Amino acid sequence: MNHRKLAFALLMPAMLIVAATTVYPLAFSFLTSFRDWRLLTSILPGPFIGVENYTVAFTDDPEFWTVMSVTARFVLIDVLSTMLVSLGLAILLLRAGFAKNILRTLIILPFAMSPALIGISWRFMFNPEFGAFARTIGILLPFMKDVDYFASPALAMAVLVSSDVWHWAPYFTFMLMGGLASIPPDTQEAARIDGATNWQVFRDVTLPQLAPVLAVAAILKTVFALKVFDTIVTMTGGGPGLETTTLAYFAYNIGFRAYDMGYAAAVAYVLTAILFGLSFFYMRFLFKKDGT
Amino acid sequence: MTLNRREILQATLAAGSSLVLPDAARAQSMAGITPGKPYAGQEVKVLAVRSSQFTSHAKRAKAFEDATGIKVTYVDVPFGSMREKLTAEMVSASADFDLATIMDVWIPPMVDNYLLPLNAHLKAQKFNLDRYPGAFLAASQFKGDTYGLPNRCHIQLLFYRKDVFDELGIKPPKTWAELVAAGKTIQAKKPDLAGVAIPYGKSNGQNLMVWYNFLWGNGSDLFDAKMKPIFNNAKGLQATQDYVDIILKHKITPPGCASFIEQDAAGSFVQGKSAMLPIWWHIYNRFGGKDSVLSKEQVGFVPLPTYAGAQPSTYVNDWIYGVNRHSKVGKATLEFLLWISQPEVERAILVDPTENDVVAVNWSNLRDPEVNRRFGNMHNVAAQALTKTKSIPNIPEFLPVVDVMEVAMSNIVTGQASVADAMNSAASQVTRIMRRAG
Repeated sequence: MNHRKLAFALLMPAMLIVAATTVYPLAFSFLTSFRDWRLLTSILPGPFIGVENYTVAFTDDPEFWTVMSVTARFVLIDVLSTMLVSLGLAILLLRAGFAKNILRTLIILPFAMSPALIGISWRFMFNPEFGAFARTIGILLPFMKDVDYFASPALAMAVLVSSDVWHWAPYFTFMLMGGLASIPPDTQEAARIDGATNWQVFRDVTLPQLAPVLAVAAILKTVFALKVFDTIVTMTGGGPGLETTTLAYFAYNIGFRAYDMGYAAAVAYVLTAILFGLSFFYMRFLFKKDGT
Repeated sequence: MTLNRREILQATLAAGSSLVLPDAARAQSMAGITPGKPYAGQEVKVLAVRSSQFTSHAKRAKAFEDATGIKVTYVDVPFGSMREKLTAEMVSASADFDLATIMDVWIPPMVDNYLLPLNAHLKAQKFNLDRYPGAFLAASQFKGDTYGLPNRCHIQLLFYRKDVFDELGIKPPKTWAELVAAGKTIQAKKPDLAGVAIPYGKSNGQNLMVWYNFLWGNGSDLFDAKMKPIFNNAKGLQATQDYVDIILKHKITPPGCASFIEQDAAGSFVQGKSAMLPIWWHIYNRFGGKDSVLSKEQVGFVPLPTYAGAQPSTYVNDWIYGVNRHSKVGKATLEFLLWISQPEVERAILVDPTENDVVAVNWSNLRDPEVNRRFGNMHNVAAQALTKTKSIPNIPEFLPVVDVMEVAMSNIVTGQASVADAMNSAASQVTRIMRRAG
């Protein structure tokens, strides 16, 4: 057996597993998106109907555009907030001195929690009658007493984003700490010798050098934000109305609550197309960074 | 059919025992069981939603196992996962379970794909379906056949703080207007107590379950005879306005009620924070329990209020036992289904002092004096409501319709849309769903 054949034989088991667990489901669901398949009437896929499911999404279902708008808002606010919090924490932790190790250990805890559990506990904590957060906020800000956080689109979105930032900030904090640590200190020292303030050093020297890491982190977080599901199910149920229903949760509802598998597959493929575009951008970015 | 001596002896013993044994023991009678243990050694697997009643059924299955040699295994699944579990079983045409508990609105998609039609077998066994109220039976009947037997059905009652009502000299409300007046009086006299807890939040259509009664009471409905949505006609809009005015205008609900799901509303009442609660009768189990600050004596119940001059109604939540058409032990499963569905088994649970389950689906138990004595006449009240109530449409498309409607209701109570806008928009979406379904 020559080298090429041996390599192919060794790769074959992995390729078969990937084909069975990734390629086949992707292909099957892609074909399903062009079928009329409603589990309400048949467990077998129905006839091909061309692009009708996509047409329904873009032209006949007002909920789809509401959900697209909610998804865009959620992703934008979530990614920006996570990056800001993570960057702030990374800068603080890099200079934390003797408490650095303890803080680093503590800060990872939220990331270790299950998103479903986070959803349930945050819903509980923001209950206006007995929630610890809601009660504390009500005491500190009396006009917020008895506010129903999950009945207000803005507040429900704020709580959802906060919980997601709380969950993901540790991961990105460590990523950005790595980026900050790799910046040569002499560039910052040179700027300070030239009379730059701390802010100027950060803005003009540190941030440009951190930009590639920050960009990768932002793209990754965008992908993660688009996939958020468990927290929405357990915390807001997509409400009030559809105000926290993202595309992933919407596709699930169509498929497994309304049993319209063809339409659900089409909506899921809209999400897949967005994720594919981001992944493509991400890979291009990394290749460019590596110079390959 | 010829019987051998052993079978005649067994049949005689079974018949005799039903005459002389006390109620609890009679519940374990052998009615409907084929003599001779022809299915001994087979195993019937039951997929059951987690509930006290099905736990009681699992306990009582031992008597059936002894009499038939059929092993019965209950596998329980929490309510939150039950729908997905049933969907997976249906789509895979699985024979993993032989009998399944299925909620009313989930039944239509399963009729042609999972459930065994039962009429022929029920007729052969002389099983009289008249033992059930029509509203309980309706959810499992399609195209002239029966696809399951009701076993856990709930009706709605208005629970109220009897101690508070007595103290303030208020009578339990019979109309929605009286409910609003009572709520306002209570909140004025007892500022720490909200008037009424209603699940207005979006979750499995829970924010519609009290609303249906407003709709029916005001002379509207979800659909007309041609399945065209009419919930947005003048009477429907008025009913919806009255329903949301409780929270938006009269403000007699607890904080957070706009996002309450059923457990939140129930929690508010059993924790002594609300004075009234329109909900399923099984909440009665919780009073006097570990998570309730209320004793049974502090709580009263009446039929749900309605509009002046209208009959009280109740939306019915119906769980059936359905037989899997792919089951490899179909006959043993049918034998168990008929045995567990006996009114005597249900009655034995209802009068068992170690149990606390109120659920009855047989007329005989709903009107049973001992059952009513134990539960403060609750079952007579239920029977009265069940003679008049309407049912939700028995159509596969009802699931997506509920999804649309609950979003509309959530939009109204959170101030994102007016009643007319939300209901008209929902009606056009429902029309689209019905059109797409052909």
